[in-house]
Amino acid sequence: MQKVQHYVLFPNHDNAMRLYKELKGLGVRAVIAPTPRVLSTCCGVSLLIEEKDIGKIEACIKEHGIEVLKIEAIERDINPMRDRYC
Amino acid sequence: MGNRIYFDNGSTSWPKAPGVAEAMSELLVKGAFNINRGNYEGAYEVESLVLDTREQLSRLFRAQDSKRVLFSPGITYSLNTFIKGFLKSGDHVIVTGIEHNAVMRPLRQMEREGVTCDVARTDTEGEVLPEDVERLVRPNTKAVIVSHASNVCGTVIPIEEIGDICRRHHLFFVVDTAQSAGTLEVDMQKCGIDFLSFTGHKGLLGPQGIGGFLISEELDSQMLPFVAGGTGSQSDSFDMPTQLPDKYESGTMNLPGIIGVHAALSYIENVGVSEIHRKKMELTGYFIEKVKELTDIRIVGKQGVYGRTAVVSLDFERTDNAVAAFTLESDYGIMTRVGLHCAPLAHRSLCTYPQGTVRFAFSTANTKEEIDICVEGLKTLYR
Repeated sequence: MQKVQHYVLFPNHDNAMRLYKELKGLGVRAVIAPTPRVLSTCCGVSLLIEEKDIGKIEACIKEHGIEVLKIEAIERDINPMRDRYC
Repeated sequence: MGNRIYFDNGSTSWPKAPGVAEAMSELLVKGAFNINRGNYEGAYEVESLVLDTREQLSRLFRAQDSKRVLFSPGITYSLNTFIKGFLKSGDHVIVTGIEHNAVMRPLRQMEREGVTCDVARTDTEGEVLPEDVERLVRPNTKAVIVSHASNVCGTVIPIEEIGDICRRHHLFFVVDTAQSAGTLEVDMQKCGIDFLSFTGHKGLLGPQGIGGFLISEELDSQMLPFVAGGTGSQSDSFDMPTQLPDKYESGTMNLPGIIGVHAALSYIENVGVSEIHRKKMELTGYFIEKVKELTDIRIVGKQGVYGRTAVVSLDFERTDNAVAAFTLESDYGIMTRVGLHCAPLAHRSLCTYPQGTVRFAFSTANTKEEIDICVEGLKTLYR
């Protein structure tokens, strides 16, 4: 399991689905996933991608005019005590 | 529906395209998960089908980009989106004399807000000359709104030529494809259409309650959403998103409807719009020639198959049109639509106001044998 995870963030679901479809066509692995709240409150979904594919993904975004907010990396961090206050 | 003949395809098509009911049922049975909200695979699968449907519509109407395909409950809603989301006090629009109340009623409401409207001269065949549209252009004219084809007499309006006028005068061009989508080729780019409204349940052979519009980038940049609400995006803000499709798609979408349209468009893509048109016009020509042999029944509008769709209106000169329609239905099981067809302006142009007409609208599912039965029924009306 990689420790750092890379997410493509979008303004809406439609753009996420468009990029997902294009990447699938190119054979680039991407997983649709809920956007980590720490990254954005903007849109519910993001694409979980692999770091090695970022260049190809950026080119695909440009070629198809897909609107993205940014590509972000965060530490995989599951804290079992999250949101527990007592 | 045994022994019934359905000639009311101008109201809604029936039967629907093969696969429509099955696709909608499958969605509802296997998982009608909500798109733009649900964060799980089932919702993403539905979302992918919705995206495919946008792409199908983009291909059908030769749009520049499937991102500019928006869903709504139908053409009435779509036209209200334009009329109330774009026009403002002091603006002037031009319409034709065949317009439906889906255009005329929201325009009448907007007249109270200071919007003015002129109707281009339309003859008794439903013909509109482009120069008669151009003659009405004023300095404050913002848009031309036209039905591509009359829902009363089937006359086709020259949208390519009117689109050219709009380009030259920098006007937005709005086209209502209620009676032409899926029947006539519509090229949004070639015709310079800025706002193309469509419905899924007529020529597109899908279910009722789903339609939408395609919008140009320039018009979108100047238009406000007619309805605001949740979109599943930018949920931290009280402002509507500016991105498409969210800007115009507030609230939960009619997913079974969209999936039904998806199945219908797959069928249409397979058969081809030109083949659908050819078959419909073959039936229309057959019907017209048979009716011409009858006396005291007037074909309203064009007398041939050129420049029209498969919608034919008849005016019964020796009986009330409603009585004629009722007799055809009760004695022969023939379903038509009688009255003003929500288009009093068109009937005034065609000189059939207020008596209206009996409308026959054919689909590819109809046959010459059905038309023969209908003609036999027409022959008995005056006996």
